[in-house]
Amino acid sequence: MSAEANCRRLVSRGDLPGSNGGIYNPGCLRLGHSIALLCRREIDFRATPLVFPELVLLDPDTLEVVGHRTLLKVGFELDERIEDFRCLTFEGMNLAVHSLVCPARIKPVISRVLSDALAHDDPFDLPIALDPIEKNWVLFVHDGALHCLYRLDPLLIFVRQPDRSWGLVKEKHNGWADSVERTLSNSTNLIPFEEGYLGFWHTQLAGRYVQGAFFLDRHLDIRYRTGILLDGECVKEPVKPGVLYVESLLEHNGQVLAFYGEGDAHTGVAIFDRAELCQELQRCPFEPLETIQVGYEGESMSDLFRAMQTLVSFATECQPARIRLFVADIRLHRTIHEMKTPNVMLSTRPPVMPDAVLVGRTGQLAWTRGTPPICG
Amino acid sequence: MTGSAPGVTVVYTTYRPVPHFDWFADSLARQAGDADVEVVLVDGLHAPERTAAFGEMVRGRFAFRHVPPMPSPYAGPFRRTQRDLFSAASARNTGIVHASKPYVVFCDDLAVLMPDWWSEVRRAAADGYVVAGAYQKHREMVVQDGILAASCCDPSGVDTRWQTGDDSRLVRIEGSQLFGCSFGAPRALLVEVNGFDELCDSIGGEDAHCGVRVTFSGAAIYYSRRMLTIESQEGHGAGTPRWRIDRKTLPSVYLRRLREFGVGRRCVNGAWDSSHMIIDILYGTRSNQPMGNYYLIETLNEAALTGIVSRFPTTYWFDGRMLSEL
Repeated sequence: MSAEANCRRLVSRGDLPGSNGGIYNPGCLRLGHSIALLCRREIDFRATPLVFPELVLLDPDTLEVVGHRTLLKVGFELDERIEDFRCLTFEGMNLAVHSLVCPARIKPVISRVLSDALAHDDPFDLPIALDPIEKNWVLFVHDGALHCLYRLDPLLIFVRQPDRSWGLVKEKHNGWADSVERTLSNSTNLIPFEEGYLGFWHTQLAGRYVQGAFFLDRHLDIRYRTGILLDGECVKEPVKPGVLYVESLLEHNGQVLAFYGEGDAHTGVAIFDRAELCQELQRCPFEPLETIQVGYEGESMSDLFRAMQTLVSFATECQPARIRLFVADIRLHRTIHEMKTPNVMLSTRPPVMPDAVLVGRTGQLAWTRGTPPICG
Repeated sequence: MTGSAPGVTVVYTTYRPVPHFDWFADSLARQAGDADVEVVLVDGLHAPERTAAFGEMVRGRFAFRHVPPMPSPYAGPFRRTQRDLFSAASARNTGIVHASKPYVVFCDDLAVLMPDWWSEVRRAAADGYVVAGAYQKHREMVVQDGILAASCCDPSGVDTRWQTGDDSRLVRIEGSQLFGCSFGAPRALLVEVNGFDELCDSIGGEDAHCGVRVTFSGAAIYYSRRMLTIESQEGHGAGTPRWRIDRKTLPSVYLRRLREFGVGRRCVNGAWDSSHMIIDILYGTRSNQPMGNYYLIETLNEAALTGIVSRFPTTYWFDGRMLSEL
């Protein structure tokens, strides 16, 4: 039996002045006695920079709205949009990681949530090559330091250093992403839970968003992950049907509250019994699929053939569970597919640190970390 | 090209003890005959006795409903201010909620419809355009069976758009020229722009504000001198007034508040007051949506109207002053 959630609408599009384009995707904070949601408020559907961080205060006992106010945007240009605030408290400061939509790119940044303003605080420059559109970076506090869970597969975790640069602390392919049709993404900042951290993941299934939970242990490894707990199938909102987007978690009175955006229009909450959710997680141990990550270096087609012969030999002799081959030039992917190398998955984005590099010019598999497997 | 006329809802708003509704009722009945028309009278002094009295004036000649305005923070039994303030946006939006016909035309109290009024409304409804009717304010009006028998008019009582109009044709006007006591629009368009902006309540100017947003939606507005109403000048001074306020603040405070609406600079010259800020917000955002409503008209129905009270503000949107002090 899966953990059942009671879902209810908290704020509807149009309930608050200037929310005719929606009020949704809420981050969550404790503010004094209240629960505060930091929602994305859109005045209309034009997707202009006229989007506002709206702080909605809830009575913690009834979850009724008891107040709201718009935070002034500080440190942002007038042509920049800010979206989808995921909040957490770190060293006494209320922070929000959120998307910054500029004309040329979308990237998360970190802002401070003040009583009357949202102030741009940290450019959040991770030491990796970024795509033009980056979203769903989530934060958590581990051993007193701010951490960023960038991606679930490969599991990529960074820590913020005292100089505000970010260092890699975990990079591990686990095969999870290969088990879903569409992109596997983070949903929420992680909250302390049992002896580790609780988060939600999401992906798309037949055009709708589905959400589940996962548990990160003290070693920052994924220990458990549930199946689908929330399904956007129930969202009939005409603007974005099927979109149920959990943005924040809060443990409260023996319950886990998962606050979500509904159809890019409204804000709601899914209420889980904490014990049930815990049991559900424990029923679903995470079993990673060991993967060898191989970067490719080559220029010509003969480089590619030479390299692939080496890889086929390696795969045949060693029979690793999975090889993930990173080839940046997507035009080569079709040729590689036609070679039908066993257990090889192709990716374009290179890992920060691959296990090996396949050198096309020499046809060698050069191991960069760890010990080469003993084969044959 | 004029198609077949769809049904029309006339939204008649008043908060006066003597609105001269009989003038309106008789003139409408005379002109509309058996057309598909309903009248929704939104009455700030709604009471059973008045329902009976107005019903007698209608005499079953057209479909008629007498309703109170939806709750407002500025006026009426749910108000949070010390006194009743001007709240035409809320009252007119009530009419849109109640309207059951595809075309809605607004008419204020103290008015009698002149002979071509209905035919102009019918044409606008058939072709689905927004029409702004002309008006004049007369003194010593004598109205018999819906016909203006006598009155005195001086130039100050004439609609300022009059010279831009033409007796023989419609004239296209700007959104900011949609004002006065009678104008019509497809209900779907009014719902699309979510009605009148309650940010204007306590101040005024909600009609022109709506007109600008209608044009932001891409619709054209036409001025018709033939769609003329004559209003009683004396009637405007009768009854308990609905006060209008226009609060001022310091330029620095004004600009910060404007930034909270996402507008980085002023769009109009003028005083640092609430009425100018409404215009700055309107032209600064160029949004067709209101900024002061806490409901979507498309989702409202009669049963849901009182539900909006819990979402009322406690402070004034412009300067944060407690509403209870206003």
